[in-house]
Amino acid sequence: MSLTPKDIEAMLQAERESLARPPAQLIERVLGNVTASADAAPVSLVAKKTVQQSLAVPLKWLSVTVLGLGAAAVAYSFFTAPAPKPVSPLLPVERTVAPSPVTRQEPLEGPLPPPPAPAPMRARPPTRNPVVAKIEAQPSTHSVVEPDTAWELELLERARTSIQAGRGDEALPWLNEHQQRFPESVYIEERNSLAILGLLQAKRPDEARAHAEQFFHSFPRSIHRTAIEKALSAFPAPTRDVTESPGPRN
Amino acid sequence: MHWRKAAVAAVNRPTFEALYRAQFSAVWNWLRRMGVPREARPDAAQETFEIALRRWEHIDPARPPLPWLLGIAFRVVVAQRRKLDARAEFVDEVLESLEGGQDLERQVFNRQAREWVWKSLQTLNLEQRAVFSMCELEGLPVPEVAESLEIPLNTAYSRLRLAREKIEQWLTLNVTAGDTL
Repeated sequence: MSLTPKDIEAMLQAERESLARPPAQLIERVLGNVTASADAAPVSLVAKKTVQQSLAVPLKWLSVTVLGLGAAAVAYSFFTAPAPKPVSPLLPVERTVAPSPVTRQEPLEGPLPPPPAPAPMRARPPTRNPVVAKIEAQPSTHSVVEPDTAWELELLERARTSIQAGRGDEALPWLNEHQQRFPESVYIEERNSLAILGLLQAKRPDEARAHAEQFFHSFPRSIHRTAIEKALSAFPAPTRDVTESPGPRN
Repeated sequence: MHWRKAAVAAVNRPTFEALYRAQFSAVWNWLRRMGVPREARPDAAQETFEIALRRWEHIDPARPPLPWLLGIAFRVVVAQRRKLDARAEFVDEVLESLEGGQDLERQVFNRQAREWVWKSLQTLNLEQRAVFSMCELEGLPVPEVAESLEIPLNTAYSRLRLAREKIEQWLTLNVTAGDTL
């Protein structure tokens, strides 16, 4: 005798009605961990950046020191090297080998060339999206602060706050500044999603739509996709009237 | 206080905590149905709610939060899929006290049925299992499930249909009618 759909439904119903309750202590502990991680998240991000920076600076000075010591050692060996012995026809190799380290290290004896000036962020290659480039072209009215993670997050937070308040036009300069200062940011996805929402609130749906297409292409499984699509749905794309007469041709 | 801490404390946390307390058990139970073992479930639940808190500004307050949370939980499960063991033994975690009002025969059947359903769920892949457990066991509408999992609606229906077929096939092969009530 085989199972009927009713039997299967009864089994599924037993599972539906079951609820494995986690221990109360576990609920509190996980909540504490979650809220603690929220507190620690910006700190850890800053710490991550600081670690990178703290590694970068010593490495920089270490390399300078090594180069300096190398140069000093070469100079010392050059100036303190015993005068060439009377040439012995039996030691021709020494004569040819001795000068070689000096000539190899010669560039280190001179003053180190000044480090290349860091390329200004605005001089980076243009962004992929012309809309973003257009936003970039807008003059930033905000003060200049040393780039760091906290400032990076704050720029995004200000933009997010403006968008939550329905002031997308105020968010765009913040996002513009973020784009200029942190073009390689790990928050590109967040920045672009906020830019799309900001453009929509600023009544610039065409630009938002173009930006969204690029965004969906770059981040097809973004968690922001639903919110963006929902926001875009409030601004349906204008349908082109095929009967519309073409514009005058010049 | 750090500006972000202040923002979280002032704006997000009370509401988030309410959501957490209301939905934690549901997420926990869903993770169980997804086959996440008990020892790995606290981490999976914690990661789910951490992501939820980070994405808090994107939640739509006009919609039920459970599909959104389960969508996040699904991604967590996918990331931890190596911890899942298809050969794991069934562990009944439903407390007897929850079934206090039921007669003994019903309790025995429920316990056995849960094990059968759990074993049949083991035959599904993660994607089918997620859709089936969300639609059939949590009672969520398929469009919401499709949206939370970010899959096309047709794909959700297809996975649900395939999952039903597999579940019914397993139950039919492994359970005889005499075992049911």
